[in-house]
Amino acid sequence: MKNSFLKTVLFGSALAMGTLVGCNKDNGPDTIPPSGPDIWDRQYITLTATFPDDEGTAGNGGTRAYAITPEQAANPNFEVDALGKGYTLRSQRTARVQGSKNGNFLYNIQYVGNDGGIFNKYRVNGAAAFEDTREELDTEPILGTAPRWVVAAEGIGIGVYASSKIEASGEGADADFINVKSTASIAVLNLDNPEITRQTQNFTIPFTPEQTLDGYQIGRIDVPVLNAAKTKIFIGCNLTRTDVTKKSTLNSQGNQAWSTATNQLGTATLVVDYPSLTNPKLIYSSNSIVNNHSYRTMTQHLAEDGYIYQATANSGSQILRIDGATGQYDNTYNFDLKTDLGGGSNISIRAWRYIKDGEGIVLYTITGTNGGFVAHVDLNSRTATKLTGFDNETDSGFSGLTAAQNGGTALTGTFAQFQNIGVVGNKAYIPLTPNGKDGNLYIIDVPTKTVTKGAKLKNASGSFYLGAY
Amino acid sequence: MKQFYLVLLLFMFSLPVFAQNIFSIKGKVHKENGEPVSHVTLKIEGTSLETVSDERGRYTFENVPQGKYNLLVSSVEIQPKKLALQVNKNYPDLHIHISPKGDLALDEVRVQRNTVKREMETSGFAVAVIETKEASLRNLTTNELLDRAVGVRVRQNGGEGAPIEYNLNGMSGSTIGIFIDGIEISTYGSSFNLNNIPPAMIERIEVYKGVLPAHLSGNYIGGAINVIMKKDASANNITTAVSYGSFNTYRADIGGLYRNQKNGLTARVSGFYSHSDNNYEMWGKFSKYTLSTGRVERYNRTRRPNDKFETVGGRFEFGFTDVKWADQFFLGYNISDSYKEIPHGLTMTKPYLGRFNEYQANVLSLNYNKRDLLIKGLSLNVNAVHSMRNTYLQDTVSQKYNWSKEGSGSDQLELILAPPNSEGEVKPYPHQPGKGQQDDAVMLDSYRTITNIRSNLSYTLFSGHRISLNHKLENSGRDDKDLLRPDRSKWITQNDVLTNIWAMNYEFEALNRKLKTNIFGKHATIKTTQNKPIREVNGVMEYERPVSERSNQGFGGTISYQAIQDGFIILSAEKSFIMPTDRHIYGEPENNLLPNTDILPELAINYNLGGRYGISHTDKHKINLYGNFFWRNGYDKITLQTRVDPVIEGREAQVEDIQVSQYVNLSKTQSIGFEGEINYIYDNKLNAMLNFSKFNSLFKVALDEIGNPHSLYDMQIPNEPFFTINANIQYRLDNIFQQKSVLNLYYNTGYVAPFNTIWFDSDWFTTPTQFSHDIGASYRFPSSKLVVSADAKNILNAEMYDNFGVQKPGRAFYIKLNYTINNFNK
Repeated sequence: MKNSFLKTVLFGSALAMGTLVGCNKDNGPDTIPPSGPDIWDRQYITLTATFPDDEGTAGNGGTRAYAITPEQAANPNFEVDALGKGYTLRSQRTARVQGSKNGNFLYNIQYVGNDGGIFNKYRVNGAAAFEDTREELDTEPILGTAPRWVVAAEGIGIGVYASSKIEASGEGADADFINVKSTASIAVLNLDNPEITRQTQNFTIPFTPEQTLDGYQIGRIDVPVLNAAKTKIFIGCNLTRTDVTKKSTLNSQGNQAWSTATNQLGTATLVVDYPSLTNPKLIYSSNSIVNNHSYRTMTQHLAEDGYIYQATANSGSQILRIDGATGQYDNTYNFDLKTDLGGGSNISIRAWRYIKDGEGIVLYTITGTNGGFVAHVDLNSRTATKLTGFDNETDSGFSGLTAAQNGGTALTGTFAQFQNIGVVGNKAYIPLTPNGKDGNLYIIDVPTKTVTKGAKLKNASGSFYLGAY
Repeated sequence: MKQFYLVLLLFMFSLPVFAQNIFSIKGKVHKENGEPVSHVTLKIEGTSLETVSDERGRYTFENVPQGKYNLLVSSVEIQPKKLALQVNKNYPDLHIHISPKGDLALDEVRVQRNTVKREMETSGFAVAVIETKEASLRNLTTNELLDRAVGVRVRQNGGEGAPIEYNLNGMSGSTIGIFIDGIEISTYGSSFNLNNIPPAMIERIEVYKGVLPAHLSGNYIGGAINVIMKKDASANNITTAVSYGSFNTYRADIGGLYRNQKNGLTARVSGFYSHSDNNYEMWGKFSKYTLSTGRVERYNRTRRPNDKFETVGGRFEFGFTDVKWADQFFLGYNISDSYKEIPHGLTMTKPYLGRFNEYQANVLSLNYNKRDLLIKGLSLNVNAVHSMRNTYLQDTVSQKYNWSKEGSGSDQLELILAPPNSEGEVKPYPHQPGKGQQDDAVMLDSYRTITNIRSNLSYTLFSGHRISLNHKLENSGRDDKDLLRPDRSKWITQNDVLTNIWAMNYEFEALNRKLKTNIFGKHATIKTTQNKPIREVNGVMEYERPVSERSNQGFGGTISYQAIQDGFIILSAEKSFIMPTDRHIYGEPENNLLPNTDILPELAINYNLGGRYGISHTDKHKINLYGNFFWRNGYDKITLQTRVDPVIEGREAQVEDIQVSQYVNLSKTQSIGFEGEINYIYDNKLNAMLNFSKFNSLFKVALDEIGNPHSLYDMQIPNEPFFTINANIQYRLDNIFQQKSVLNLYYNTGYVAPFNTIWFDSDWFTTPTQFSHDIGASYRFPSSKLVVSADAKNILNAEMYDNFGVQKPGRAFYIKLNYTINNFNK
């Protein structure tokens, strides 16, 4: 009895020693420390794909990631199976993944679940080898369990949250609108040495008293971006307006519901000072009234000219710009993609990425048309060119279908969920898979507008690829 | 002359309780080694019935009227002995065991209950019968007892008093009906449920899997747990127990029965009190501490504060038993009250302070049953319950808290420190007026009245053929009040629900009673009236009252065939629909349950095929085997999901940041599996049992949204504990320390295989292996009045999880004293 116990202990220590030796090997001079800033050359392009939840709801169950080399990415005979072979990123539902500039790190804040609001950082080591740096941050007390966040500048992540509350003359139906208050919270994350460096909670979004009495409010904010000098944060807003002339109605929960009126202020952006997060201001565009808070993808980009280019995503068709130095909209600038791309119909910018030298790539859908399309935009000449060479671009799996259109079950569109266009030098990397169908990674040489079909993307039911990093 | 003692053996292949007035008793008189004893005189006292055992030890009494008797056993070799016997059924195998040693008094109650157990388990349904007698003397809760039964998995979100979900071989949630004496347990309110009803108040628990008998018909397709409260009215007694254990857990229960033998007046009174701080230690991956930089430290060893659970209840029943006009007639009053702190949301992401529930329920009941009502063969059983129950939820503390830091010396929550604010200062998060720990501040009072009447009328057409008609009527109304915003209360839509369920079944026996069948059909209508406030005119509310009516039908049957001596083949099948309930459609705000108005009814087709076999070549060794193959097909399966509201234009503001759950339809599923149990008994000393359940719960949607073969087809559905094993061993030692004392030693182990909570493998989304060991001992003092038991649970301090990364208690110790006064007034 005693003897066998001794054996167990000895065997145990042998194991432990083996492990230690193993560790030493890993930490040898050749290996790179797992965290810190992205100071290395690009080795990989990571593709992410999302899969269904328990219920089978498409793209709602979580995210898997798979890293390939640029050579593999460019090889149309190479097949990527991120869903079958990828690494499961930590998020109960679709992760909101961001990447570092050379793709050596992925960042994610988990969306709901056990660890909703928890930030994680992963080192990209190729294929399904992602190393969780275990530098976790809890943003939940500030941002809630379903945070909206992006990389606002290299090494800096910013998460935001807003809500609004209407004051009424009474409970239930038939009450009169009195006033409304909108508040916001912001957290700044150091991505290189993960910690929350600054936060502000529940500050009042600075509408004028007249505006709030007129029903103006902001219930949601997203896509924060920093200017070149890193002195101001620009945040996209979901500006809504309650119809103050109408009395309240009741929803099934016994809560008040209100009618909405048309926004007459214009597209709004919330501006706060960085890094103090003080001095909030609202600025409005005179060129648009479409909201710019996007959905899951970054739609504000800082260009070399110091302007922040902002799309009215993801239902609008315009690109507006803000002067990063003055912090004001440049209302002389209005680039409406509809002119070049829409024909007679409206178009919606679903995702876009600034590449360089005034050029960018836009993913868009056309109202009433099945499919998802890619365009090249020249911000300086304000011209948009539809790019060709994509398979299946009119597949309804890109744009989605309602339950009625699809025989009872709604079809989630890939473009509505799309998260990130990868950029390496002059090249844009776009994984395109209609919901539930195989597709390809496409590589666009931006200056020449050449589209090359890259690696094959193996897909699965209720799933799609939604980002390249 | 040699002294002999008699032991009535518990061999009992009797038939269902048919409405007969006259019964037969047959059996064998034998010695320890099985040798038959002839020429033993058996006489039923108070009657002219008398018989003598033949050369094979066989004896027979035909035509014994129902009633309580003493069986007088005598012969040249043995001293005369009286055995108490209650005759209300046929005893085809009532063996009388003449033992040269031992000092056991007859445990007549036990014999009877075992009979019921065996009878039910071979009736054709896939049913497990859990007896509570032994457990009631130990430190076991009703839920722990259930969790050990074959094919049953009790998933509790934390410690005692925390919300529970029952999983019966992969069927769970709303598909499982939980009943007290055939009445939905929810009628008794959240203050009187399996979390707090002590086993001592329970006669037995029946767990039906997949196929439900007519008398439990309702909106359930996955199975049912039917708790039979103490019914026995044979002997006056008082039992009482107190226990104390880890996590400042103390419990007490008391029960008493009085029956006036002359006029049948019977009173049954019981009560319980239970308290636990549930402040157990947590140290796993999901036990976190957040630094002021936001950095999360995992594996933070801390105790769980703010999880107090306190409950008290009483049950008072007065009536008559075994009188001319009723076998049982009781009027009852059931009162219960509980208080439960809510330590965190569905997950342990953030700790809560000051969020709690209070439940109260006042329940009136009437129970009547009579065999041979008016005419021979007709019996009536009515169980009517009216309850007034109240649920209160409060959450008004707005500051944000952190779990206590390991090594801080305190278990109380700390105020969480926010990262540097605009001025660069590190301070706790400020108060937020109007907010609570989970979301908006809340003080919500839900009052419900429920009337639930279940009636069963059965008639024996002729021997072996019985037809029964079951009816259930349930009417419920609710009144919710928002105490924080009283003006809002009148704007809350209240629902009145009227449920009518009719069920008929026909039972017959053939082939010399070796074949038993039961065919049943059910029809249910559910009428919901919404009282939806529209407007207020001069202080008078105007309502819209939309009425929706839904109905569903189902049918099924069972067959039991005794193929060989002691061997049964059991088959059951059912096709049934269930309608979404109020809970599914309208949710329960106090339980973070969102409404889902689009939810569809669920259809299930369930099959069970199983067998039971008993081997007992000699009296010393007995082995019982049980196996059941089950096949469940669910369509539009209703499952509970943790989720947030999707993004809806115009209402992006708050809703989506709350961890809530919601019932949803999982389109098509299939669960195929096998459960088995082996039980070995040696010489009334050793009792060892091993059971397991293994199933594949598969996603069966063939085509995806675009019409391609679904790539998840045939994959294991996430978040189902699909493989469980339980084993326990009991060993009995007589005359330890004192003569005539009994010491029982217990060992129990449970294993739950790891399971994914999402479709793909991931360390972070896997509920790890759960493997725990419990040991215990109970000591019965020679007088048989006092029993002391001690239990150590999870002795290896294993890390246990049931749900969403909520850690369960580690090692714990309990001690219990039971005191019984029997026959105080005989």
